Order: sequence, then C-alpha cells, then structure tokens
Amino acid sequence: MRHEWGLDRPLHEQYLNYIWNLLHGNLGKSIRTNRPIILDLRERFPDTIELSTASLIIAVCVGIPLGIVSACRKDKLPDHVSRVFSLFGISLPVFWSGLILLMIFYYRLNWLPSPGPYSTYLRPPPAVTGFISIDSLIAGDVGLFLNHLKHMILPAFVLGFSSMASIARMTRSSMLEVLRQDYIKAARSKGLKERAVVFKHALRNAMIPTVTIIGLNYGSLLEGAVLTETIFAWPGIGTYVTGAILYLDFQAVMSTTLLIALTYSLCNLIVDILYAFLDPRIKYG
Amino acid sequence: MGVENVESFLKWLSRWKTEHEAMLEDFKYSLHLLRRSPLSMVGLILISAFVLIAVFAPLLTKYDPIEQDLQSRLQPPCWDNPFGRDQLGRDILSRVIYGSRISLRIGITVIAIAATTGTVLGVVAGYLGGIIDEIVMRITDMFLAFPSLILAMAISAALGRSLDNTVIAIGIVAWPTYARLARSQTLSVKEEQFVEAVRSLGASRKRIIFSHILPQCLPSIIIQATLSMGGIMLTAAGLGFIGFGAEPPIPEWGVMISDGRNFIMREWWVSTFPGLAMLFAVLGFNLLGDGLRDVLDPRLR
Repeated sequence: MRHEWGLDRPLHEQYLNYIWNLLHGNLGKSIRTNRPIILDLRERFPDTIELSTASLIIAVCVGIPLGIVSACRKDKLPDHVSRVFSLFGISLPVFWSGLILLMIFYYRLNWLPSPGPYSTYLRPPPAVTGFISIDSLIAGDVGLFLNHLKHMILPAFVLGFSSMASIARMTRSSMLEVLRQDYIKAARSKGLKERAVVFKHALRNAMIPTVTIIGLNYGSLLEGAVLTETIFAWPGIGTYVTGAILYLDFQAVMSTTLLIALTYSLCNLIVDILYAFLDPRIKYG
Repeated sequence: MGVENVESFLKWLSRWKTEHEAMLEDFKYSLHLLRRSPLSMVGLILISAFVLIAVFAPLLTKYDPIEQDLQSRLQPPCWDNPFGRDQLGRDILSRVIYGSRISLRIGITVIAIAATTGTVLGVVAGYLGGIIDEIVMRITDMFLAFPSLILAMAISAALGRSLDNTVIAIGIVAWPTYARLARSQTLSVKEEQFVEAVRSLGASRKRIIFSHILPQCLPSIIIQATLSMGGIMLTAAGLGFIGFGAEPPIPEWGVMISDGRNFIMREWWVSTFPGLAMLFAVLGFNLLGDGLRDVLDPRLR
C-alpha cells in the first residue's frame, strides 16, 4: 500500500512526482469513485460552469441597470430601494434561500420543476462538449434543452442574487464618481440629453471597476455553486467536492480546489485583458 | 486615596481630550453623519437586538434548547412554541435564541484571530518593506488565490468536525484581507510628516509601528471587521449546513437549517426560522458596515 502510493519515498521526491503528474493532467485516482479524478472533473465541471455562467448573466443583467438607476437618483427612493435590495442579497444564506424558494415555487405553487439538471424521465444527450445545453442542441433535442433551462432558473437565480448585489453596489459608486467629473459637465452643457450623457459618456468609464467586480464575482460564483449544487442536486463539482470531503477523499478535494483556483486566476487574467479594451490608455507589453 | 485617583484620572482625561481633539472632532462628525443615515441606524438596532438576545438567552425562553420531546416531534407553530418543534421535538424558538450565542461567538473569535494576525502582519510588512514585505504579501496572495469557502471546508475536514475547528478554519481564510488593507494604509501613513518627526525624535521601529502607525489603520480595519462579520457568520453556517461545523446537539443555525432540509416541503418551520434569524443578524452587520463605509470614506461624503 505504502509503495503503491509512493509514500515510502522522500518528501521532496513525492512532491516533485506530484507536480510532474499534475502537469501531465494525472491527478490520481479517487478513492470514492475509484476512477481517475481528471475524468470525474471533466464530466462535472461543465455543469458547474453552465450554472455559474447563467447566474452571472442574471446578475449582470439585473445588477448593472439597478446600479445605474440608483446612481442617477442618488439619495432618492429608487436608490434606497436598490440599496436595501442589494444588502439583502449579500445577507441571504444561499443554502437557506434555495430551500425556501424550492418549497414555494416547486412544492407549493408547482411553477418550476424539481431539483436536478433535467426531468428524470428524459435521457441525457450524447456527450460531445459536456455542457448539457449545448449537447442537447447538437443532438437536436429542443425539448431537453428547454427542460434543462427550466431546471436552471431557480439555482441560477439563487446563486446569482448575491453577485447581483455587489455588481449593483459597484456600478452605483463608480457611476457616482464618474458623474462628478468635468467632462460630464461639459457633455451636459453642450446640450446633450441626459440619457446620452449617462449611457455614452458616463457608463463606459464607470464600467472599468465594475468589470473587475464581475470577474471577481465569477470566482465566488464557482464557490457559491458548492452550496447551491447540494440543494438543487446539480451534478457539478460542488456536489463532487462535498461528497469527497465527507469521504475524506483528499486527492479529489485537492484537485477540485486547484481547478477552482485555476479558473479563478484565469478570470482575473481575462479581466485584465478586458481593461485594455475599455480603457485605451492602458496598454500591455 | 479614592478622591486622588479620580482627580488624577480626570486630569489625564482632559489632557487626553486636548491631545486628541482633532480625532475626537472627526469622530463626532462621523457619528453625526451616521445618525442621519436611517439604514445604518436600522443596522445598529438589528445588531443590538442580536447581541442582547445572545446575552440574555436563558431569560428569554422557558425551554431547554437541546431537551428532546419525541411525543411532540415536528409540531407546527402554536402559542406555546411560536416557531414549532423540530424532528426531535426540541423547541425551535429557544434553539434559535441560543443559536445567536454560537453565531456571535464564532464571529467575534474569528475576527479577533483574523484581524489581529492580518493587521500586525500587514503593518509590519508595509513599514519594513523589502524582503519581509515580499514574503508576507506573496503568502497573502497564495491564500487569496484559493476560493475561501472551499479552503475553509478542506481545513475543517482535515481538522475534524467541531466548533473550534470551524473558527480556526475561517480564521485562516479570513486574515489575508486584513493584511492587505493594513499594508496599503501603512504605505500611505508612513510617508506622513508626523512619522518622520517621531523617527527623528529617536523612536524605535517597534514604537513607531505599534503606537503611531497602527492606530491610524484602525478605522478602516473596524469597517472591514463590521463588513466581514456578516460574511463570516454566513460561511460558518454554510460549513455547518454541509456538515463540517458544529456537532449536532449544538443549536447552530446552519445545522438547524440542514436538519429541516428533509422536511422543508411540509414541515417548513424547521428550516425557515433559523434562516430568518440568520438573515436579520447578517443584514444588521451589512447595513451598519455599508453606512460606516459611506461615512468614513471621504470620497463619498
């Protein structure tokens, strides 16, 4: 046993061996599923990405307009409402709001389907990309696609709610900062309509800090997915890692943590590159 | 004897007041602004209620939070048990009330650990600079690269399931934010003239760091602590919910929500009330923290 796991060799050799295997995509075998971890992750990661992307889309689509409205109506009713709304968003425990919404919309009202990625009577699409939504479209199964989207509404909303709050807050404060600048005064005094001033002149400049927050939020969405997935029986890496921890399957836990950290760093890199597009003054290299 | 003590104390107090007049004025002005923001006041009320409930828990309920009564398990809310009873027949109201003690304890200890470690490391790194700064900040970066909840999960899984281990795990995850904040404050404070004056008077590095720079960093550290209190309580409850936090008989809110998971469709009260309590406590800290940030951040005034 010790020999099989390489535990009889010196520590530095074990570590170098681990790094070597890591770079070759060999993450070892899970003692729970008895399969190579890389295969487990490959199978589950797309589901998590799908869920967190959907949440991010919801969060951005609601958060940015909310932030703009409260910046334009600073210290008026819309501002207070959106502020309370956002603070509620950060304060809600996702594992609780998920349960409560599930009880209301699935059990009491029956408007939305049960937990899980799609209804149990449907069969999974042939795996091409691993993303259920894309695979079902490739297979031409529109029914499955729509069913999957319906199942995604509630978890994506629950997960996206807290990000929505922080995106709205950030948009608000950076819009306020920009609206105070001289060039906004100039744009107003040349007779532009308020709408043009806000959307053409202010928003674009206010987006820079907002983009950072969005990028950072993607990382925390991946993390929030851990809790949300366990409630909505979503077969992503969140359910995988909680199962692995309860089973003390450390190899799997480490690999999942690494994968999330890697994705997180990748998001930050993308944010940095996006800066150059939004702010022509920033040049790399 | 006693009169002399009081007199010398008053003398000291008036001297202290003159010495710190600018700071006190600023503090009064901030307080005035804070009082004008209704949302922060709501936050303050929520926090006070939360703390009072935690302190006076035994006076507020006649039931024992861990006493089981299997005869009346899953009993719906009624006059005697306003929040109903859980799957073991325990009174949920008294569990929620006692749960506030657990949450408060976790929040305070984690912040005490994380804020002290982080602030001291950050101030020292920022003031000394050079290789020490590099080392501390790279370690900080390393911790920040990992998703905090998963890191906390992994740590508490490795340490074993208990309340103290939850505190340790979250503390380990939470300190880097404070280190970064304290360092950036230090970098701007150490260029100020009063630091140069103190240095030319011959003060030691230790004295400059701890008596002159550290107090300047405290306001932003306090805001950060208020703001992160809510997040810490949420993380702790999240750990409890997945099964890494407090052990079962302890009335911890996360564990209670998780207990009610299987009954959520019919016996909704088991999960709903601990969650609501959690929501209001966390909301209190976030409201106050948000208001404090607006008041103390001069750009937003």
